Amino acid sequence: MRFSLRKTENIWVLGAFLCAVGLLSALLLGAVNEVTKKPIAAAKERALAKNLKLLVPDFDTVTKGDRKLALANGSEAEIYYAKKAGKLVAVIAKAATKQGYAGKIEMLVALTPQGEVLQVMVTEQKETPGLGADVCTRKFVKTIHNFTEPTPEGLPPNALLDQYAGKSADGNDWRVSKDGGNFDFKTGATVTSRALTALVGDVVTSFAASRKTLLEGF
Amino acid sequence: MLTALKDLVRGIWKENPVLVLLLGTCPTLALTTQAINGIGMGLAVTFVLACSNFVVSCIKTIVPQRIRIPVYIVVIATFVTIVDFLMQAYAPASLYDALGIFIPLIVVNCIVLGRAEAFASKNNPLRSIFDGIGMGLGFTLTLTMLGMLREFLSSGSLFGIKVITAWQTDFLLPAAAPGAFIIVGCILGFRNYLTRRAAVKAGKLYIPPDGLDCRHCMICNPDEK
Repeated sequence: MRFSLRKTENIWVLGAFLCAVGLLSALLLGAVNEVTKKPIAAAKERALAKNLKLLVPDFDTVTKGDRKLALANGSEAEIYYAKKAGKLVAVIAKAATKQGYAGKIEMLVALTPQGEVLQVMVTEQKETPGLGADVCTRKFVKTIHNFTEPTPEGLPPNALLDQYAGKSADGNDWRVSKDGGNFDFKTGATVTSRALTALVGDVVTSFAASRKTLLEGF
Repeated sequence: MLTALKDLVRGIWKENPVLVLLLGTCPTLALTTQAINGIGMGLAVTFVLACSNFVVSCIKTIVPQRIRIPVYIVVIATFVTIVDFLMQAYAPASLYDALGIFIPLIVVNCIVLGRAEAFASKNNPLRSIFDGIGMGLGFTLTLTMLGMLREFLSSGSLFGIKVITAWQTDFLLPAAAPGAFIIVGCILGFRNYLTRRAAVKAGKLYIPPDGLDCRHCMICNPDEK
């Protein structure tokens, strides 16, 4: 009988065929990964630079710190230093929490060297659309009256994220007002609001505690 | 050429993957909270569907019948990962931000595997590409329509532009999964009503067969007996 690859029942032939397909696919993916590795890293850097530009209004250079900020929630935040004319103007922490309604929330918290919040921005979240997501999203609202006009420059407003600006570790209870703290929250998105407030508070207080070591040499 | 055109159009109405084949319901319900998400997911699926249909159709004569499904899945997953890499590297950041989260989900989208198995493994590569594009467009159109409905009903906006400016507080039912089920149900019912009316007009009296529903009864389908 003539051998037919299509109708074969031989387990070794089938196994070898599947192996060959897997190998071919792995080779292809490896090659594509090798080619796109650099552009992907560059694109990520561009995205981060764009976000930093929105958070910190005025700086020339930004460097990634060697040290990390240890947070009370057990994770570590990466630290970026923004300088203008050689002088440190802002410290940006990339912090994450798992206390969101749908898991991980990652945000950028920009602080002055004194430890006061400049602005915050959520870079990754999977919260409920219309509730938790609204607390996290910074977006210019377009209406039928202004949709032909160009989008304004700068950081889009979000009342619940803007409330952290200018706050520091001292004299603030980093909880939402429902729990007795002094920060607003959105009804229906209490879990998300709690997670954000706790995370910003965590960054601010941890930074205040380890400020000396983190700012060494600046 | 005419068959290619037929393959293309079939996916949009007569065999619409969401409304007739009822495939890919998971992304349909989960992602269409906004119209723009529907377009994004739809176009990404269209691309993967056309590519995977082409490759599956090319290798159909050498793939052993016994292991064809794992082989197809490897092909699809490879394509999806390549699309993901390429988009991360070369697409504008705003586009990847909008579409990025949907790309890995395409692997588990059963429309892709369904078309590979039902169409591409039985037809030539050219027709398979057209079938993939047609099915993808049908998927895109349905998802966009659903996204527009849900976005408008939940927040009074369309494609992120607020149409009713006085609409301040979101109405959450259409934005949540139960609302999606209700709206899909209404669209399905409307579509079935249209086809049934067309069948009656064409002189085929509709008598519902025992225990069968619109998906199994072929009375409305002009090509079948």
